[in-house]
Amino acid sequence: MRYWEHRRYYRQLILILSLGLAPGAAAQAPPSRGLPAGEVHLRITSSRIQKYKIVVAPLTAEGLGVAESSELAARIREIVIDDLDYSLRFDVINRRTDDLAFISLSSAKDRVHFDGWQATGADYLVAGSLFAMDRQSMVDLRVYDLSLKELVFLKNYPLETAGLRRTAHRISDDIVLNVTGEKGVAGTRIAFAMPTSELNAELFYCDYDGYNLTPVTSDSSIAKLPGWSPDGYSLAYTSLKGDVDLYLADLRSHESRLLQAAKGVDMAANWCSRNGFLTFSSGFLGDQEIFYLPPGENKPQRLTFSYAMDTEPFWSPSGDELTFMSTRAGNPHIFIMGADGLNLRRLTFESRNTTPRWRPRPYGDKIVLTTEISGVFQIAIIDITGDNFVQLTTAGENRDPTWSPDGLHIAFISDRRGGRGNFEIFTMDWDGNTQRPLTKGFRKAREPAWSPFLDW
Amino acid sequence: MKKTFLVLSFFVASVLVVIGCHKKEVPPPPPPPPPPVVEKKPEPVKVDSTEILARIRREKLSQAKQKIAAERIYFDFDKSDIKPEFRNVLLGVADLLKEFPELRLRIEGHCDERGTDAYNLGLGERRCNSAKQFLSDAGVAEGRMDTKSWGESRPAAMGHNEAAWSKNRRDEFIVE
Repeated sequence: MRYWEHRRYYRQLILILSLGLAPGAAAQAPPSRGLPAGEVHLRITSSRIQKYKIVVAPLTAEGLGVAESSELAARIREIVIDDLDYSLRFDVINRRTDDLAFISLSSAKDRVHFDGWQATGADYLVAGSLFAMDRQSMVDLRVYDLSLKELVFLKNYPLETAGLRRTAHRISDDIVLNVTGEKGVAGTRIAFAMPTSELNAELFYCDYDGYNLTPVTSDSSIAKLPGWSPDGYSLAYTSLKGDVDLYLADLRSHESRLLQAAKGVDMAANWCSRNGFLTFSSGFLGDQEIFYLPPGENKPQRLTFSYAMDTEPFWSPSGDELTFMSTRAGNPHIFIMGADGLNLRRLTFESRNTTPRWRPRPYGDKIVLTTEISGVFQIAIIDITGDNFVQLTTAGENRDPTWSPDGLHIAFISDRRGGRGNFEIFTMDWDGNTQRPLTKGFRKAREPAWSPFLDW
Repeated sequence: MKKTFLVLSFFVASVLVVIGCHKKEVPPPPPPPPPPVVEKKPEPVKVDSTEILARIRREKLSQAKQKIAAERIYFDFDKSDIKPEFRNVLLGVADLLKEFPELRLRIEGHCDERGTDAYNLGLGERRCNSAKQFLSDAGVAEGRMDTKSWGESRPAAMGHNEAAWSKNRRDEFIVE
């Protein structure tokens, strides 16, 4: 059993005990439906994100050019702290080195001052060294459980200066995985459309924290509405060259190829992360209808049959259902249907609602959307039962929400800083907290799509 | 007697020769000139009229193209139905298209900035298709018409108010 599995088992045990003690709490647990008891309790722990207190010791610098190595070590530490803080899974204690009352505490291998570090209130300690060598440097990283006074994991990371941010993100995600058992999002990216001239817009992506802006398309047209493939190596998107068709951009070869080119508008591609099915909408029958395409096939199957606009299809995490926007009831509203097009149900009944995006596992019971409130578009979240509609944004106009693959964050566009119509990408926690701009030195980005977990 | 016969025959022969010579010399000059002159006069008149007609048609075609390209029809917010005041615009476009069967039409649909992007691409498509259906009902073959939605990405007027938005909710017509 891996370390975090021990830890989770321990948490479950506490939860089961507390459920037993708190009257009424047990009633909130979903019916067991024949699942083993452990799984039911797991779901409850997942919906309340447990935060661990963690302290990141200054990384020691060794080897050649100590001054420069210290500088690199300090930068890596800052990025890791930002990542852990952003992850919502940690409270980072005493992030500023000059605040450290414990600056003299040893974090050296085999000489960790456990009692001293534990006195800071932290559950976990991150420690490490940077070895600067001629051609390549190396980060030696260790994470300790301070209550058990034992090593959780250690790992060496080769470091190139150009890839410093990526290495730091990799370290952060390994800390998240090894302590919580969940994947971290520090290595993910966000794709979006951005104007390159008065008449053109191309696709770009950046790191999840807004750094490393990278161009994807060079269509000299208007590229829109990117959707990540499940493997994270390509983007399906809508290009306005021609009569509006779907293309696929390969992020390794930087080449684009035609994906769907029926008469009329083909757009709004979304891939199911579980089975690789592609869904999109096409107007070749007169108005937008929703189709899906299994991997390796080229004959799309039709899912909707209304005399209205049906578009923005988005798979549920299981791939068993899709949410979509339809004008079949007059104004645009959000619906859910089975992957066979049956069992239709309507989620919204008021105002105008578009861009439904299903929350990823393990929280796949909510949908984030764009809703019109007093003539202004805002982000809101709603249960898949249609209950608990909660508005998440209020400042300026906000739209185009997209989930991080861990389901804990939402990226969206807002004109609250740039003024009406001047949108840029923001992110927030899934419940609307911590709203902040993502973009670093670039503006007017729109239609963000958060990547799946990436292995590059 | 023989002498008289000889003289007569000589006279007759010479007369015949003279007549023969006269016949050869007289006909060529008059007949050829009249027919060419008569034929040449109508010919230039006929050529001129078809060229003029063709030129007039070319000018009318060019005017028709300009007229169609300058037409706009506008829509209400979040609507794609043809408003009554623009029916005559479309009927005029239909008449011109029927007068000039060689023209092809591309209808381009646009939206104002409100609404999300996929929705507006779909709405622009519906605005194209409303005009296409109207023109088809007015007798323009569907095969002569293409559509393209620009969504909200090609505004005609900048600004974030109804004055700008109302100019941006439109169909434009491109003739080829």
